[in-house]
Amino acid sequence: MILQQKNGHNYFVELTVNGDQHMVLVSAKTTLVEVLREQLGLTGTKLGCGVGDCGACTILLDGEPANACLLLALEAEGRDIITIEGISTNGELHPLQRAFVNEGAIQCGFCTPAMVLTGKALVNKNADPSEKEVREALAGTFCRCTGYAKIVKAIRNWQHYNEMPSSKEEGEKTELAVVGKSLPRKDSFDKVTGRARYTDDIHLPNMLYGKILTSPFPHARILNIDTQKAEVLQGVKAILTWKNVPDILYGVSPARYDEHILAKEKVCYIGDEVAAVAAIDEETCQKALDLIEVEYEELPAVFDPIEAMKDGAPLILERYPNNINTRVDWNFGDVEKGFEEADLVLSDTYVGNRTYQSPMEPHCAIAEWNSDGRLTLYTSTQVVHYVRYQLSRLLEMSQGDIRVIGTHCGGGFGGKAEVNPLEICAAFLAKKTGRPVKMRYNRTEMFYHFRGRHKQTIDMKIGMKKDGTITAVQQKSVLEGGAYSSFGVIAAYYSGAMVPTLYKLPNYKYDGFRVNTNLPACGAMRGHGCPHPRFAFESLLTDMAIKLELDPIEVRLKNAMEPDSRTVNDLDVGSCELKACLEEVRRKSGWDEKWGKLPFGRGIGVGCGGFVSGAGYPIYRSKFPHSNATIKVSEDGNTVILYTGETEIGQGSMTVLSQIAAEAMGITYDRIKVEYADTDITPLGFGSYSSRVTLMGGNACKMAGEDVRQQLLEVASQMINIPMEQIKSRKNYIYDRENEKAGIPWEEVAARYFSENGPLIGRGHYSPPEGLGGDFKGATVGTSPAYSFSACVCEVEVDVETGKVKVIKFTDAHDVGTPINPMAVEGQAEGAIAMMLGETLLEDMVFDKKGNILNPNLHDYLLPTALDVPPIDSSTVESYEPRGPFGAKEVGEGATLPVIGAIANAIYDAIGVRVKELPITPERILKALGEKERKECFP
Amino acid sequence: MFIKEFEYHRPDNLEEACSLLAKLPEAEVLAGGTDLLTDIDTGIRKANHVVSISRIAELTQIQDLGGKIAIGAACTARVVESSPLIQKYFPEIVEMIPLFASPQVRTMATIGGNVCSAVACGDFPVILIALGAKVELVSLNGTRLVQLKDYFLANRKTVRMKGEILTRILIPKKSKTSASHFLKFQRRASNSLAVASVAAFLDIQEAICKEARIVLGAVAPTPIIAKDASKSLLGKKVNGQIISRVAELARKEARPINDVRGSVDFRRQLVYVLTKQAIKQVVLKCLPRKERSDCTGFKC
Repeated sequence: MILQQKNGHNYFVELTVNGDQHMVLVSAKTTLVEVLREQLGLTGTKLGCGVGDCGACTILLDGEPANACLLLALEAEGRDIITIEGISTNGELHPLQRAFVNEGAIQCGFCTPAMVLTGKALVNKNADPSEKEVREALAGTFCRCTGYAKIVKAIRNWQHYNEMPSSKEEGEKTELAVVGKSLPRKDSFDKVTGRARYTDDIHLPNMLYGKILTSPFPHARILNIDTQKAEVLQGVKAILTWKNVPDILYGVSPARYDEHILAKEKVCYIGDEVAAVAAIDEETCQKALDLIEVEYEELPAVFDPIEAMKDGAPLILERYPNNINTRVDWNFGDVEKGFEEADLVLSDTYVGNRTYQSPMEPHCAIAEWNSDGRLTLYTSTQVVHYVRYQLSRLLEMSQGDIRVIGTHCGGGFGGKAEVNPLEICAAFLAKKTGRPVKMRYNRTEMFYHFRGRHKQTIDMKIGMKKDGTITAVQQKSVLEGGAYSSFGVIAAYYSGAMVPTLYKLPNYKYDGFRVNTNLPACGAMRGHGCPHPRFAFESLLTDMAIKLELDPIEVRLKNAMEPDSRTVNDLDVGSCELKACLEEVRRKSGWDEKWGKLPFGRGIGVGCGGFVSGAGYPIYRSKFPHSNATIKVSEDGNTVILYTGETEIGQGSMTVLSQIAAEAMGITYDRIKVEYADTDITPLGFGSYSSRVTLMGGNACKMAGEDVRQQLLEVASQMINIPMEQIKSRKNYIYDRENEKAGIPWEEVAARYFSENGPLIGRGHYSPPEGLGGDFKGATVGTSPAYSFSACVCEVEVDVETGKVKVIKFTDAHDVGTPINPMAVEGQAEGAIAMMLGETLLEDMVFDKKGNILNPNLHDYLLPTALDVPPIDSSTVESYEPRGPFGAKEVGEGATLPVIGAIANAIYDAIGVRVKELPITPERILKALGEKERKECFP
Repeated sequence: MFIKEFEYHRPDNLEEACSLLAKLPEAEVLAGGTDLLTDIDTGIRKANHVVSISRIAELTQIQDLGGKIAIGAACTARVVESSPLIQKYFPEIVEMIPLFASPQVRTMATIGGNVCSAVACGDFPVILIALGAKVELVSLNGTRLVQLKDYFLANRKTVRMKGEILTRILIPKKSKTSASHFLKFQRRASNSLAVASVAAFLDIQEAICKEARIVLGAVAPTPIIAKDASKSLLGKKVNGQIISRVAELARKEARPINDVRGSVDFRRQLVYVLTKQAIKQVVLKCLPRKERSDCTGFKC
């Protein structure tokens, strides 16, 4: 049975994959995942961590799930291997796959193959598994998007999909035919079969690989870089240092471009980029990096923001005196007067945590220069447009000569919202070598690249009248920012800007400090700058309610923002149903029966949140519309292609945009296809950040759809001899409003249009209303056409002996306007809750005294598993946002915001002590309980 | 992973495996590979040669030897948890396996591998020591049996010598009056390493404890028997008061370190709590129902 043929360290081995025999040549150390992906082209098996933590590489080994990254190809010989590509037959989905598609169990899709395979192994043995059995089976695969709820549901309901389900567009009769329906995702078939191509799944002919040498010191001057030994290493094709790349700084906000392509004079954190290599494979790259000799002179480093601000602290970047990267000084109304009017004034200090987006897909980019001197870059990004903009600055070429193609993206959450060193170095290395270059981070490199959440230390002070009315709020936030600016300036403003949006605050003062330290740079992470202040505010608000013997929900209702209000910091709130959200969670969670009445160790808590539906202003100044769309109708009229520059990072934006455009045109969902995030073929779109796509991209797509419809109605009017105003287009049928029978198929009208006029093209664009926001420094941050609102109730159980918190249930309600796709909205809410559960209880990046990350992996940086996330009862309240397409606004980021406060308040209710530092670990709970005991014994 | 090249060997039988290990320099045994590959990757272990034992028949069987059960070292966690013999005689091992690792890792990782890796936070050794297991070590020079409690020397160091293969784990069947229980504290519900773990084994005859082993994991360089705690149970009627005292002793016997998973104080507290809970569970398992009411001080 052994079929090895020895040839040095190489072996021939026969593998049985999906029933087929493959003879492959491997080295002893080759893992199965490498063979599957690189030799057999079975790229549905994903590589997420390489050390058996994340589960993305799951295959079935003799019917049982196994990590292909930990299995030597030689050890797989003679075993029955099934990959995701082996689950469907002749293009027909397995019922379990159909369940994933129709239950909304897929978002970014990167974990989907593993989830399907583990589910398959389970149902093979147990056709009707319980919720617990499913969660146990899934516990070895992380999902960062879905919160597991819909995956569990899909696996439990898989037998319902033995037959093809009927289209959800049929059924109920509603005015809108496509919008408002829980339709399956546009990309779900590709994602559930392993066909969806992520950047790392692309292999170009003659392709090289690249890797980056990073600094081993947190702060050091570079005295010399010697690349000679590396240059002569067999297989090395190019080496870059600061000497052979342009001396141009980049970053996010133009006023704070402070990053070099490769470190020039000094390095500012462990992980700072020093040199880049292109070679025939990654291993050769690594060997070359090891041969580059860099002479450093170590400089004193600073890791704590308070220390960093002190006079005499090591100065990291000269342009930021006292390492203060951003200072915000806002004063609205008169807080002193407000506090005087209050019956109770309380203040406290809250400390957040450094958390990392941890998308399941590692960053990856491939650059290729074409013969005409143009650059094509494939990348996993949230923002093709900004990547192109920065590349054009750094490469000193026009934007039009750069084509950035956003492939499928396995999650972003803000971590892929800016240009990254892989994209930049790949472009330069490809230029230098004349060959395509692929670069990717491994999991550890991702943690060092970071751009995750700022750790904020917040002093929050609230004044309140006896009846619960808030009279004033004062806040100071210190954001620990890491070495460079990234999105930090915006985070510093957001930390304050969004506080006055949920409740009516008559007076508000905010002092913000974003401070540089010698740690990896923080950036924009889901909820950008807002979760920690929201945690502080919601905690203190509940404490005050309790002190005044008021129900925390009543206090929130008392102060809740009303529709059509202007906040104290000059933000215009349009639709607002925060009160309805609070009433909904109160009712559904059984709050009135539980609040203050649960036994010791068990508790219930509430929190609220809300966010912008897209930033009101662009990151760099331009007059371009923020979102644009074109639509092309095929000459036979049967197929419509929507082109949008927005990106799909898993949240379902392409599905939602397709629904909007289809509705606007009057066609069914099956007829519309979508092409996105390709700067050569899709019009400018700012991309997926600031929760902007549904509202802004949606408005542009709606306008483009209406443009198509308008052109068709003119033709139809002539064809059926009815005045245009009287014609309606719905579900592929254009007809007389007053006589439904007088009509013609949509495609016939479209074909006629083409015959007479040539291509049928629709165009749409969207810019936020002009003049949003007030007239003060930083007033643009926090502006938006519309705001979401939400409330969340959480129930917990705390083991007072170990400090362990078990979250029992979440009940949440959201004002997202009118949902375009309710299933997708639920998916966003459930995913946001799971992510924030992790951030509240588990996740924290820990550094040693030298600035090394102690947990740059997924076994010590703890993401929640399917067993950690409790049932989530998520709903939306009735709402309509006039500025949104068909009344819709955002959900993706706002849904994160109520969660920390809800959990923290539930823990307080359970054990009567408050942990004010995140994450709320068992150790911190025990410490707080111990302090309380001491205080009671020795008052 | 950029693992240094190594040569792969897949011997057909144990003898061949032993002779390969004896003659090859820097050779490592490969069973499931889940620890070995990551250790080679991170440089913790160096290997010029890897000798796969995953298909040697005698190492992948679970046998009833009368007074004891022998588990082949290359049995995966999944094979162990699915084995009717283990389910019958050692349900505590079956209960422990979901806590041990993710479903995927359980398909590959072996019981012998977990013992041989000898990391402080390993789970199998803790319950196996409590059960009084021995390990069989085979080399060209012969076979020897070692009490598992004496097997570990330090973190990642064991008495296993070059050329030796851990072949089987021998666990004595429990008497009707004895039982054991394993508890692990991990920060999340699954798929994570122990912050502390405790296994308790008690033999209770006529309400009096005749034999006791309290084993602590992840709170010392190796799994350790809390000797004072164990001894203090002997000859005693196991009630709530005794349990608290025993747990207090266990807390003192732990020698944890501070790391990213937990502090010294927290780990000691966990040892205290887990010891209490584990003993209570054992009492529930090994006492006939009517005698449980004699154990005052905690709810049965």
